[in-house]
Amino acid sequence: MVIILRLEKIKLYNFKQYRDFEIDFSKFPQDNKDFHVIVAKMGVGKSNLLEAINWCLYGKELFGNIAKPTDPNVLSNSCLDKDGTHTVRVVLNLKDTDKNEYFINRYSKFKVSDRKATSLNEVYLIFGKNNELVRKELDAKKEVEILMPEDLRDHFFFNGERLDNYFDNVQSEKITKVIKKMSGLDTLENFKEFLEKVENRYIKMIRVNEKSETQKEELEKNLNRIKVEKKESEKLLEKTRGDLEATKKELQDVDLQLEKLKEYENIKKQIELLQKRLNDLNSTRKNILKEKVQTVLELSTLMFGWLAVEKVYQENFEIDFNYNYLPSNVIENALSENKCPVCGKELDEIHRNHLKYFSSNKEFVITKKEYMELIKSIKDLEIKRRNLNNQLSDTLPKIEETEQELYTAEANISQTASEELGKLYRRRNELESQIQQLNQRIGQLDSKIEILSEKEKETEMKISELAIQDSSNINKKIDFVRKIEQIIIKTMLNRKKEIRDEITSYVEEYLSKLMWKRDLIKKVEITENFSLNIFDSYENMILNRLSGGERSVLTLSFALAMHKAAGVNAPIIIDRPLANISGDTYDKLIEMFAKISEEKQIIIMLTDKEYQQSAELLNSLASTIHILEMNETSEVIISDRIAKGE
Amino acid sequence: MDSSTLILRINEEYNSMLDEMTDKIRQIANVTKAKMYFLAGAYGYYLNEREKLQSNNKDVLRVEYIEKPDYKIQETILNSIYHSQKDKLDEEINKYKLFEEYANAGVKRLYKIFKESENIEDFIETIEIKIDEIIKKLGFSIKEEAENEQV
Repeated sequence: MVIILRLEKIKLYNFKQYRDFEIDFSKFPQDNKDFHVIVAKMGVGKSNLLEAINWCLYGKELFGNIAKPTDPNVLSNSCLDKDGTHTVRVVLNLKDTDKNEYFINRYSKFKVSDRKATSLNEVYLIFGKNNELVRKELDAKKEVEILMPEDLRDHFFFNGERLDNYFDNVQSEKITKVIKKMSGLDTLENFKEFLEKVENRYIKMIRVNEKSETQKEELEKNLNRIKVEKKESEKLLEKTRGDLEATKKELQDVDLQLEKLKEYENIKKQIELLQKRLNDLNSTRKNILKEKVQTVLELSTLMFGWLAVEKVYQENFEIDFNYNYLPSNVIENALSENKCPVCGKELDEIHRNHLKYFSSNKEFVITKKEYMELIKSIKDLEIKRRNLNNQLSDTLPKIEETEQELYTAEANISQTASEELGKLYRRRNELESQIQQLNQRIGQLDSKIEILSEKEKETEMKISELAIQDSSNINKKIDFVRKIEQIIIKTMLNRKKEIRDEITSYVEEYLSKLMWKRDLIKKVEITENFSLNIFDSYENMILNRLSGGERSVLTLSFALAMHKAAGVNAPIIIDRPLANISGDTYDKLIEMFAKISEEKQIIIMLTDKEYQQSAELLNSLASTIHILEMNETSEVIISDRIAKGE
Repeated sequence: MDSSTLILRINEEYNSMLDEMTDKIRQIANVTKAKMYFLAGAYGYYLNEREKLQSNNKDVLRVEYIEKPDYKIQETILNSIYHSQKDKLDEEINKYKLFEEYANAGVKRLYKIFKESENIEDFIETIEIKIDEIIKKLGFSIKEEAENEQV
């Protein structure tokens, strides 16, 4: 059965903004999860709680500057107000599933005088297991190291940012170191080196004839030179392999950026389309305006003069236009004879006036037909004007909308300027040629090492051949050491493969459990140098293409795999895991933490805003939720505790 | 009166204003200076403002122009303005001289609107507001669907 270690309680005294503080992670026995949430506003002291745990375990902070337990900066500022001796103390209570209870207590004394704290160099670490106390500092340290190895602390304490950049180059080196230590590879490497020294010493002990003494010395010098050169070549080979990995990763980054820039071409096309649409719309608008201006000028001329038209029409609309076509002399005769020029009857007053009108004012007559035509013109022009205004109202928002779209598209394209594209293509070519060169270099170094090994053997043989009879004992010893060396080299190779396979399979196992996008990662690979590569179904390396949330899942899967491979079952504590995550992934990540907490204690620290975003989900999943606040004397207190089953 | 020999004129000062307005409008639409002149005359009449022609006047268009079919409305307006008030006109004035006086005053007023406008669209919109006011005042009913509707 796997033994799982959990943090039960943390007590802090005078540690930074914590005066006398206790936080309890005991949970409802029926709760199958061990998931705890600490909520506090920015600056209240979430991260310092994590640092307090680190200070207690290892005497130094994880992310901060404090590197030894005697650093007076751990002392609460409020203690500075009071001269005298003050103690900073952090106590951790842990328990495992085998019912073992652990107690880790670190304290450090400081003297305060005139608001200045100085260490009294009284530092103690006490380790307790089931009421048995280990008081000797070194022994206690050893116990702590067994329980929660310091080398592995990067894999159980996280800040949100680290979840995202866990696999960068700096981290990769650290991870390699940890894996080597954890898997015993470093011990094997040290042992191999030791055996080489022993072998050298034995070779020196080979006795030869006096006349061969100079030759032996020469051969030894040569052998030494070969060994040094071989070692340097091996180191160089390892470094070159590392460089190759890094170059491949950079190429992957460049490819990713180039892929993003493919969008550049799309955006360019989109901009062209938008510009064309905008041009069309502007030309439509221009045409509408042109027609509108002409219509309005014509209509306004008519409307401004309409009263005159109306007046003229009212004065003459009753006129009988049968006389209109008559020549003026006929009209004048008819008037003088007072007879109708059409029917010959005597003229009445109305017809007489009509004839008079035609004799003098003919040009000002507006006939009923003309009047109706004018009215129709007004109506037509007005309707046209309204329609044109409607068309304009439809077109203007479309123009604004298109302008906005164009603005956005142009803003996007400015970020991915074409210069950048050229730069990236150049960089890509450089990297590809670098990879080629590095591969060639690796090949050269491999054959150089092979040649040097041959030379080494040859020289050793020559030295052995020079040996006089009674050196056979030494030769046997040398043979023996060489055999052990071969065994060690073989063991190292096997162990390396074993640990790579082990971590790979654990990472795959956790990823399949935790990753919400099932088909995203098809293959996980731990390289010779223990760096992690992941591939999609098309064999593309996709580590750098993962979103913040997906990368967090990968980080935690890797950390859990490391725990399992190292046989460590420490809790995982994460400060602000949602810091670099987009809002829509919050819930998925929280659900993932809850799932992990079914086999390992998880403590996460959130800001109040992050908590509010997923409060309902957190309340339903978390075993405990502690809300931290700062009181009026700037001490951190627990203002609320929500626990399942209470 | 032989109209073909007659020319419609405007004061020199107003002629520049008319040119400025016409040039600006031409950036948007194809409008003749003559049409702008008639608009100004109609506007002067609408405002009941006249201004005598001074000696340093400028020719705007030959009267024969208004006999073209394009200018039918403008010709009717010019004639109607004179005829509607000829009994009240004391002085000896023909219809062209009368229209010139209205155009003088009208250009000045239009130019004021033009200068107060941010651009031509704004200028046209101000004129549209006046059209709306007249349509409302005269009680015109304009509905698209009733083609032969009583106006």
